[in-house]
Amino acid sequence: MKWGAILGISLIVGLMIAVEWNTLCRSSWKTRGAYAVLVLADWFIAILLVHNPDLPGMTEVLETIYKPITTFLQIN
Amino acid sequence: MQEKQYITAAQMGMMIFPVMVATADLLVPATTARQAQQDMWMSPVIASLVGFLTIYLVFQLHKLFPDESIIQFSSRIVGTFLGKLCGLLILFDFLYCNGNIIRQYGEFIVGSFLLKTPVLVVVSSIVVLCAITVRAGVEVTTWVTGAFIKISVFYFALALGTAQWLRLEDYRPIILPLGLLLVVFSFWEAPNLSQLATNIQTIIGIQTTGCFTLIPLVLWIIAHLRSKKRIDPPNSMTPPSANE
Repeated sequence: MKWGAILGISLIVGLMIAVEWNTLCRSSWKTRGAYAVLVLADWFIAILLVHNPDLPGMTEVLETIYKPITTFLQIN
Repeated sequence: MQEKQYITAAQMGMMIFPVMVATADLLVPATTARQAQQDMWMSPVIASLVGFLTIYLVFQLHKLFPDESIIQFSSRIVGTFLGKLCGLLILFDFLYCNGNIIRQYGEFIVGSFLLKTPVLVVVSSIVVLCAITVRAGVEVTTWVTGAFIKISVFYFALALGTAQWLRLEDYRPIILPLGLLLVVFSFWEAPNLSQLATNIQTIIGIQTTGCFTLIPLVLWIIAHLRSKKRIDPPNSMTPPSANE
């Protein structure tokens, strides 16, 4: 585990929340919920990527989905 | 949205044109040349047909649903569930493509000018700059026509679209988390430069055509059929064959 990178990511996420704190206090619960979900997802994926930079992701999923089209067009 | 921002049609044209040219000049020729070889001059002519179709569809949909974006009116055409699904696909395409574009710019700058700087620093700087532009509003974005116009416009579309998709009152609070998501996606999509180039060929071309031409086409056909049906009842005295 690279603790420095994880600490850095947490610091950036904390800064982002601090910057928007006043706006979020005035916003509806929906905005706050969306903000929380997005920030948590960012934080989680970023830490996973620090742990394993070759993390399989959407690229692999999409390549499998579009396989019939790419094979038909002979792109790959 | 609370505050409406206005730009003129000419300003929108000035904003959209560099957005499309940037992709067409950077990424497309390599793939086109590999497939078409010496007949490559013909490709833009054939490809422009899809472009004209897209503009026609978007304009027709705009006439049917003025003052609404595709994220908003898709729910009204095909129902809430399918409409939200269309919106999600389009937003995902914005996210994925923008991540790829940001990484490309980052790799380009690191490869040619800032040889000893990590890509993460360059990518983060671009995203922070674009976040400030997008936060300032579409009026500012229109005038900051520069190297990062494409990233800014995609970022703006992503932020506004997400806010409309979730029916938030303002898009500004979610700009920063979406920016971090863009940085994360730009690294998640491809571990190296060759995978990044492959993504453009095997994923982005197909996905963008599907999201920006196929979805509007299906939506327009359904909206057209439904509006015809809605007009029908007053003329119910005429035989059905008269409609054909």
